Amino acid sequence: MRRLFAFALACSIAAAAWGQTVSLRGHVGADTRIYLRGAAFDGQERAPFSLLAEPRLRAVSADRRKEFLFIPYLRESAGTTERGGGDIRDLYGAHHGDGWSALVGVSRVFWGAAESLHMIDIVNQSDLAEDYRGHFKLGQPMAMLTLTHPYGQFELLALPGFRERRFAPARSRPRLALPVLADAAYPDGKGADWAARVTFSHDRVDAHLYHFAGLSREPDFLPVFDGEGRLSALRPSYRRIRQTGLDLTYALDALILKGEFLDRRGYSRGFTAGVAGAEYVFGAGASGADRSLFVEHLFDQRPADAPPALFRRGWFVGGRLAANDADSSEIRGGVVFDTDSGARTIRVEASRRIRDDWQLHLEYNGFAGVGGSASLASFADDSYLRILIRRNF
Amino acid sequence: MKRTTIGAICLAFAAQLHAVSPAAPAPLSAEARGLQIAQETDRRDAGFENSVADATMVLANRQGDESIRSFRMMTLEQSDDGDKTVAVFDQPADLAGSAVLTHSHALSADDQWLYLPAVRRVKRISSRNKAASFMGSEFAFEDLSAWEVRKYSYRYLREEAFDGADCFVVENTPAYEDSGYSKQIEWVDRTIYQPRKLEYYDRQGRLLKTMVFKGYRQYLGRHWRPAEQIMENHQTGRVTRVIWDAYRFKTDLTPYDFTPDAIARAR
Repeated sequence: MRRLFAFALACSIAAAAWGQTVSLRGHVGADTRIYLRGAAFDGQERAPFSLLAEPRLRAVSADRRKEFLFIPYLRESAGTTERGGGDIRDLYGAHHGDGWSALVGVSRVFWGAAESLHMIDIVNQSDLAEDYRGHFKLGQPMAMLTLTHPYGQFELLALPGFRERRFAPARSRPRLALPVLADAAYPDGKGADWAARVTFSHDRVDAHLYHFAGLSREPDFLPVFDGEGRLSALRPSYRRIRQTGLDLTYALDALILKGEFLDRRGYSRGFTAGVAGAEYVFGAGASGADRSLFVEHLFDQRPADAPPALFRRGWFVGGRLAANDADSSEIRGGVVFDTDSGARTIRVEASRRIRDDWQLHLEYNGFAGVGGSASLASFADDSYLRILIRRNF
Repeated sequence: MKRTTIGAICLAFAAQLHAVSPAAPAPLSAEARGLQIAQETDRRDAGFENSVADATMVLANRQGDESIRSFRMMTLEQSDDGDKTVAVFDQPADLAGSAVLTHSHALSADDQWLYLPAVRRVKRISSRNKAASFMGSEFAFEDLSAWEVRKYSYRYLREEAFDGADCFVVENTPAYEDSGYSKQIEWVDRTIYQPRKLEYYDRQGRLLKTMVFKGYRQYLGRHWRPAEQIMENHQTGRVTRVIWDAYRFKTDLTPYDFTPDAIARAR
């Protein structure tokens, strides 16, 4: 990792020397978590404290055609090096032509439309050490060609250099009940992955359709037994899959309909999964605030030999209130109910800016009734409040 | 076909004196005259194709505390529909790189998307936020959206000088839904056919805000743009100033730069 950072830094200096416009932006911050109950497992952290940094160095040529971007992510935790440790989120060179664009390097892309779960987002691997829902992503090596049109675009991605999922370390909370081994299994072999995606965007409709062939970003787990025949650990196993994903957004005045669906092959049978729902926007009241309500339905019909799903069938209900004030004060949150297991996960986030350059972010993650859920049962005691303060530059 | 930028925001009008010559058989109604001024404003600014300008917004509260917002505004002229705009933010630092794309429409709701660089996500947002504050400033989203003749109905009121310029005074009533205003009163410079002052009345009919335009300059021998716009909210005492810099017209921007996917690549 250290050597990679050194290489990236050398690239950055070269790019800075070549670029006509060079900018260094980003943030540094500190965060802590407060757990509302005692730990379920021995040796788990009590009040973790971390320093983090995500600088962004960008160089753009005078004609704005060539671009270089470097975003490292650094996290240093007090007393342990287990959570995070850092990643290269982006390190790429790109050329933007007339009606086309090419990018080579490490980058991140987001595919999907739903609010509650990002089920079809597949290019980048999840960093579960940052967040149990998997919304934080690791940088993915790629070569991406984009052909654009005013009504949409076509993207072709070659994805060498598979990234394994980063799990919450043993000391951290919440985590799986059993330790996850570092040496993963590849029963179908490795090899480069690829994906192609088309976009259509016009008037009230945004739609994306993609096909992905390669290693599943979600691993299933092989049981590992100790000398006495007891289940002692889990070995991640990444299968080769083919996945077709579709997302749709339709704006109907105050209502925005959103849905994302996938069809995945590669396990004992093919299956579909999806999230579909709506955002209702109340419009600005006398105070100028923005208020929205979200309702989404989730379903996942995967077979037993596929990686465990966070939810099988359920509902998400949530809301957002943005004050539109000078401090960008905002609160948003919601609950996902799994109607199969009775599990409920609650998330409420609030943030505001302080004196232009600082930002305070509070986040509550709650787990209730998770005992019956295969993937959430070990989180039962891990409801927590996260406090993050950031200095943006 | 129109002005963009916040300037665009601002409506325009101007009556045509010469159009209504003394020999004209019947004088125009106040509505027809107001519309004529708007159409002339539109006609005179047509043909810029696209433009780019840098904006610095200074937000001041009653105590005089200031904070800064800065963004680059790109506009694509559309002859058969509302203009398309992209605003790419630079300040405050936490919003650097985020962008808002708007496809404005004369009669139907605007289409709008937001790009969030931290998660690489382009999200469609509801155009029902028209009356919401733009980044905590005294500008509402509707004050910044591209001006279209058909977005308002017009009524010519009188002639009056403002800030040393002879102006037509016109009342504009929003024809689109979800506006925060019952009406606007606009002072249109009859020489350059651009707004000098704009008063905004809230839904209850009370004076809410006043915007004043300063430092007009002509570009490419045709297009007038202000160097500064000052918006004062009479109900809160807060003031937002926008300073425009580095106007460029007929740049190499194309329709490809005004799509939801493209705003994720805006540099």
